Amino acid sequence: MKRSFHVYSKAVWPSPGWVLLFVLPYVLLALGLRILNYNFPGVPMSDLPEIGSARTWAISAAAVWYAMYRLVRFHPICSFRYESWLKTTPWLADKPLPLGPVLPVWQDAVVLGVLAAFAKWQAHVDPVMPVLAFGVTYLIGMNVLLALTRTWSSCWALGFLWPVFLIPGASQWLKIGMGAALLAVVWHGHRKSLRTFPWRKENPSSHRPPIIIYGDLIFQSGIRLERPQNVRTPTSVGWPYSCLSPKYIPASVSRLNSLLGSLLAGWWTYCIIRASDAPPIADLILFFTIIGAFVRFAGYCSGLVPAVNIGGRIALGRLILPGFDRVFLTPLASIGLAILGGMWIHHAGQHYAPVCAAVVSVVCFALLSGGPSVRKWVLTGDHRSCRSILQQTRQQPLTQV
Amino acid sequence: MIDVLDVSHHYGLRPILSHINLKIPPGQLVALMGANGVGKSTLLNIIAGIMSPAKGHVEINGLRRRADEQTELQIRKLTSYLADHPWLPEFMTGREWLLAIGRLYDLEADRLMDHISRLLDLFQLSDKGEAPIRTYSNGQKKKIAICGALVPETPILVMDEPFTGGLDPSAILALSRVLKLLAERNGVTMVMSSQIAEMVELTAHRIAILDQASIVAYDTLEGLRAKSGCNGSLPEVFERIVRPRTVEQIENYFKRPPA
Repeated sequence: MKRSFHVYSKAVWPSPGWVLLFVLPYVLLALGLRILNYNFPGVPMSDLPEIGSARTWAISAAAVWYAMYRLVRFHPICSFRYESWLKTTPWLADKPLPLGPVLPVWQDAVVLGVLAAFAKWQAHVDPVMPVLAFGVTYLIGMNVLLALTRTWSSCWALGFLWPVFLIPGASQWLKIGMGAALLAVVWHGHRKSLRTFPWRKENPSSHRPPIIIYGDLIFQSGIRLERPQNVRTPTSVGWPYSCLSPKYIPASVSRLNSLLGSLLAGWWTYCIIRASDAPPIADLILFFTIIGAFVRFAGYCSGLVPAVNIGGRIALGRLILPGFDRVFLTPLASIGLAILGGMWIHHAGQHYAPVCAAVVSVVCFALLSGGPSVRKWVLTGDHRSCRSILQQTRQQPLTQV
Repeated sequence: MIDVLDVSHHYGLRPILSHINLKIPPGQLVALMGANGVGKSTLLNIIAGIMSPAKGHVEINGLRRRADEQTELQIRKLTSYLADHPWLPEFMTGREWLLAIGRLYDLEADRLMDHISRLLDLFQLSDKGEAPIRTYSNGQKKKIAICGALVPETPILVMDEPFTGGLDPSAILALSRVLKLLAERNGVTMVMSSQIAEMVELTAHRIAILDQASIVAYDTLEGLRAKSGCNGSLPEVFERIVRPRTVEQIENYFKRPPA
């Protein structure tokens, strides 16, 4: 057991080829400097700020690359083949990952220690820089991976913790505490996400029809047949089959997620305003609300057009058709809220930051949770389905019969 | 059972359907006939759920379309639609596409695969089943689209011009026989639009004739003959009901002015 752990943990070190990729340019830079110093002995080349900056960037880039390597190389979600293979093994979440750990191990401390020592004694730059670059990249990367593995509770927690670093005047201890909290959330979230493996499952509530699972289908019927490698996975079965499907259940944002997302947007706004000395944000809020309203409207009306056009409305004597026009309500209401919020912000005075945060939260919540839901709109709205440009992609061209 | 209740629709200022009422009993095949641009496809689109009418509504087996989410999903499970010009995924093979359609309706895998093989065999597509749809000819695309409408085995089938689109004569005949047997043996309720009178005569239990945004006649072929006072073929009956002045117009067309 001891031996297997030893081998397992050593696997996190990158291959010599990758190490050379960073060492070689650095050595060339150092050699160049030596030659220049030899030829121009009176000029202290190493003390030039440009050289110092180049060294800092080079060492930080190595730390960033190492953090990305640790995540991409060892997390099963980053490799379809690794994940597919892992599904076929008796591996369980409480066992170590076969190709190596994702969470930091002592070998990472060795690598970072080497980088920090190199920064201090050879490059003469701040030794904290590579550690910081590694930490930030690793935590952001883990945040993304937790989202990909749908560990939403941890993603929300990380989203709320991140902006604390922006608040000016926060003590060093608070920042260290927040860093520790981020690490704890990442650790817990990663363990939780492993327990929900496998992540790429057929989702019956997805708006995408569960299709082209040729191998699976044949597997269900008792015959095992490998799916051909070159078969592409389209996202649609064409028009009008996708839009009339009994499984056509569009993805919606739940009320809880809307609330959390809105609070998160408000919290980030508050922290950014505190960090940047009260910028004029009311116009920005209106601008982004208009974009958000347009995106929402475009998303709702992708492939759906009014069943009755303007001429038809005039002919029928019904300028407003509630069955269709309800799709305009939330975008218009959100823009109205942004305008009212802008007026409130102008009179906010010393409460500028919290008022801006409140306005952003309210507008976001209105945009995300205002009715009708996508599902209700698609299934019961008074519209006409037409072939959407979104149904046709390079991977999924459609042909007309 | 399909109930079209007081359905009206406008394209711009032009009324395309006006107060349409149509009841299609279970296990019957009803053919919609009418001149080009008279609103047959619009009515079928409304029945199939592609579009919402400006006024009125449609009921399928007593369930109102678009009433609420659950009901709409329930209706979708009962209904299959063959659009006039559907769009099919180019890179999927015919068999993969039919499997995908079947999975949307939660059909049991063994039964679905067997049904697909029989359908491909019926429409002489067995050899093309494993080829991407983009390699199909126009007629073969139409055939695979017909298979797509038949594969879910729904009790309600809505078809827009199933006999056109480059189908070969044997496929037309096979389809007409399949539709007839689906109604007789499986009790499938069907509504289709068609301009091919011979096929309508052969398959339809009732014929609805649309003209001037309304249904001007809805009966069996015998009933239509009695109504029109014409004992000829369906095209003659149709002409008598919709275009009684056709013969006169033809004479006018060939009438040469005196030299």
